[in-house]
Amino acid sequence: MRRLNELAPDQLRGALQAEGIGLSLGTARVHIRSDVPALAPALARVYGQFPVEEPSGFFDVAPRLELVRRPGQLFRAQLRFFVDGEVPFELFPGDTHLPLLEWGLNWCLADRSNHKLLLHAGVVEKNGRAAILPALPGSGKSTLTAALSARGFRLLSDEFGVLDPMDGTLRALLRPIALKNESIEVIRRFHPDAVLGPRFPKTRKGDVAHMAPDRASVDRRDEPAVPHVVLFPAYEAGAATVLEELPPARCFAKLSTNSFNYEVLGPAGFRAVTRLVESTRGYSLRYSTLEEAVERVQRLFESER
Amino acid sequence: MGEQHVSQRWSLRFPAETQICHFDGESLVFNPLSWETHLLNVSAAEVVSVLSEGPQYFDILVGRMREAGMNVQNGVSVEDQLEGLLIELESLGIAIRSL
Repeated sequence: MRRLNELAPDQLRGALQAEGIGLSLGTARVHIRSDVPALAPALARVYGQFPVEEPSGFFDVAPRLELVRRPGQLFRAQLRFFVDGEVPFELFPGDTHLPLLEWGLNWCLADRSNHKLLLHAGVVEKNGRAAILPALPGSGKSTLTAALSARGFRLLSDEFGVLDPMDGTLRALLRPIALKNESIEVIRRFHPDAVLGPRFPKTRKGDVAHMAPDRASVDRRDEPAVPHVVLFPAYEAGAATVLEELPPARCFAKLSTNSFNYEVLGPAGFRAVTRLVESTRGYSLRYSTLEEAVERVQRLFESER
Repeated sequence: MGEQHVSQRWSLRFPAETQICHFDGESLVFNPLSWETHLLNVSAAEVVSVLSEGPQYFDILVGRMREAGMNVQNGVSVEDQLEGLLIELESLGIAIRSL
């Protein structure tokens, strides 16, 4: 099966406009169609390592990103995110194709994945054991997840930590890591070989650039991982790096509030989080220096073998 | 404590669906009525645990709570503390009383 970055640019653009491109993200499959010419090279960059699936069969989400030109605005095209016959969002500026696609996918996946517990969390894994990094926006979750992935951890997800309530394992929902504002340059400096997509300035969330998952993570996206630690990162400029163990009940409360669908799942969600808290240790990680934070996490994995 | 409480029987509203887990002195209960999760103190968790065994008369509950270490606190009797806890659990929809 060919990878997305092995398609010629015209071939990818043509496929997006016609039959669409199918991608398996691990626990979900998406089928993308678009007539936005600039989307093709951006996708090739940040989803480049993903094998291209046959555009048939079942897909969890099948969005279409369309250019919209209104009379009198010939040079200021806008974008429409179209899914299942509906347009769930207002039109977006024409130059925000990849951010809109990613946010739209987030919205759809969060809405349609209630057979799993969805945590707002990054997940990385080493030697079969996973670190879950749940956090609110602005806490440095994506930056730390990207940095850990650059230091040998397998990336399972950035936006959604997917916990299977049946067996307690974590499943990959592998997509590019959305870096925002200062984090873009922080990761460029931390990992000069990181494959970053185009920078989209002044979006609704500030400047955004996406970091592509590495090939090994893509190739192992169907492998589950066993939860090992839960780390609640909190970036704080100038702060010393402090790793503190959390009482289990506090960890439970933070996990449930960082979940997209904890209350939707009801008793299954309660059982899943109970099992997660019983089988892991929870920590808060305050940091300002990425190198130190990564080192602390690495040491945590080494000390708890 | 009102005299009528002695003969009242308390139970969990949805015994099969009420789940409780204990972590280092703190407990969490899943409320099957609201699908919310509540953090319980030691005494409230003990009440839920005892009720999970089946319906209990108030005076039996008082005895069980005394056995579990509940005693007079700041001049408030065990009976009054227990009554307060039960009313709170009732308002959450976790416990229910019957005569």
